[in-house]
Amino acid sequence: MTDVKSQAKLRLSNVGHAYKGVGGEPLTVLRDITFDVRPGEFVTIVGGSGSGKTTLLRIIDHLIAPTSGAVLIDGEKIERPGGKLSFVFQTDSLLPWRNVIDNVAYGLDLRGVPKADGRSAARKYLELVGLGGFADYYPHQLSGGMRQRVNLARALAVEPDVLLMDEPFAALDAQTRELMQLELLRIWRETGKTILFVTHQLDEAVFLADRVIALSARPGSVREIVSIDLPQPRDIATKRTPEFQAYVARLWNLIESDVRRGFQDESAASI
Amino acid sequence: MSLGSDSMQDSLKGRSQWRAVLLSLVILVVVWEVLGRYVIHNDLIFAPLSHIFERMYTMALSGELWKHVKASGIAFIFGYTAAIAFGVMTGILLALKPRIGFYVEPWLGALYATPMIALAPIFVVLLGIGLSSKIAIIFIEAFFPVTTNSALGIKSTNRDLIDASLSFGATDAQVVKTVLLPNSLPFIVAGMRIAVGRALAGVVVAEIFGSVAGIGNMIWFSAEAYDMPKLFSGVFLLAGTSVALMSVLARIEKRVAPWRA
Ligand SMILES: Nc1ncnc2c1ncn2[C@@H]1O[C@H](COP(=O)(O)OP(=O)(O)O)[C@@H](O)[C@H]1O
Ligand SMILES: [Mg+2]
Repeated sequence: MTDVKSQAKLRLSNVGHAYKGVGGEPLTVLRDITFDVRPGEFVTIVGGSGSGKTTLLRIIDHLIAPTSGAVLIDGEKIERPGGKLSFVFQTDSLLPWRNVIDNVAYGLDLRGVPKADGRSAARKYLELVGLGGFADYYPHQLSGGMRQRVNLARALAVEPDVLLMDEPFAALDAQTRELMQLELLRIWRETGKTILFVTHQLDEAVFLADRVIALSARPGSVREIVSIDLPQPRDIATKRTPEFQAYVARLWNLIESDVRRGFQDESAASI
Repeated sequence: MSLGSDSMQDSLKGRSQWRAVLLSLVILVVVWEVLGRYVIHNDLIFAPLSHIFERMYTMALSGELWKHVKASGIAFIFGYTAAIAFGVMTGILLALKPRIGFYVEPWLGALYATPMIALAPIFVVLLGIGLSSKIAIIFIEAFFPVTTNSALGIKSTNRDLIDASLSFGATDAQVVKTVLLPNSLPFIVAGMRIAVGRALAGVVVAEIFGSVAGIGNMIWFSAEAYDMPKLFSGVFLLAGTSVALMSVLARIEKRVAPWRA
């Protein structure tokens, strides 16, 4: 059944989006986005700030409807969030009044899973992210890195096919970020999830990905899709290889002019 | 973990604060007594603490004190509880239905800003002297802070928390129940705390205009009679009730929202 195997987990066709701008005229932030993600693939999306990365993930998650184009999951159109997709937000979006285990079980609670079943499933994923001993802690008692692990466990607990991650490590310090990248790759190997991961850091994008999608500046469109042919499993040493650094340099060349333009726009706007 | 040192510092702060409160209380008691006994000899404008507590004791024995406490207490409990119930419901409704809030909130704000003492006589005229006008005045005093805070609690909810909930497929009702209401709980308790002071002020105002018994009534008539020990007895009772209720609510506030400390 080559047909089933080759079917995309996620398919975006000609997705475009415009927000209502300040003066009332539309602000186009995404244009003509088309790409497929294969089952079990790890795809990262890079682009300057304001290139519409968050908007794109929110469209895929069905939190907002695109103004044009369509998103298909397993070849089907879906109407509302909450099915095969799980979102890991950029900011830590844990509920401060729930302890860690109840936060991880939150999605299961919403879907009507009995409390005890939800807790035992949550415990499993808490262990997967290495926080088995912190079930009774509250989010404000954890470090930023630990909170993002809980976020990840919460997203995994509802057993999605696809994880959508919006710059989840952006707020972490450099060392913690490296460790989290390694953890994420391990969890990806162990669970076989399809992952779509947004970042503005090129080395992170290359390190994690099977393929990197480079977006142009606003309105974001697909500038190029780069396959990363670095062997798996990857580790810290991967980042020191010339191949790795060549990929990063190539991506930088791709988006440099956009980043500079965005930078100039922003400085001009702030004057 | 930083947990240990944090809570240690908290308890240290708490302990030395208690000591400060105790110390200043002792100083106040001594100064008051000395002033009353040896400096201000005029019983018509001041009274030493010992006379005040003596008077409270005899009033308690004769049952007079209880009569006033009961009259005020019943009105307070009804007015305050009703204000909390309706205030929370109104605030949440206005925050969840911005269309209604758009029309109603400016008027609520204007009423909140109006000194209620100006409205008290209207209630007395409308409802007559007695329990119902007292309850109405206390209600209207306590209602606004609770309403405003409940609405604020809903509106101040972090957008990301709502999105996270929706992303898991939550219905609107689930978002309200699992995100908006828990978020507004500490705000509601804070509103209840602010409402205590206003409700007690309402008790006094109501009893000056429209009552024949109660602590406010007792204060008013002892002022007219220059009966300072009796007047201060009433003031102390009100102040004590207010401090006790507010500190209980402050504790609850901390308890329901440890992450905000
Ligand atoms: N809700 C919104 N309404 C109007 N404009 C928005 C909204 N959200 C984002 N934008 C604008 O859309 C553009 C893209 O935003 P975003 O998707 O957050 O980009 P990125 O995540 O790549 O930084 C930005 O210029 C931003 O100001
Ligand atoms: Mg973003």
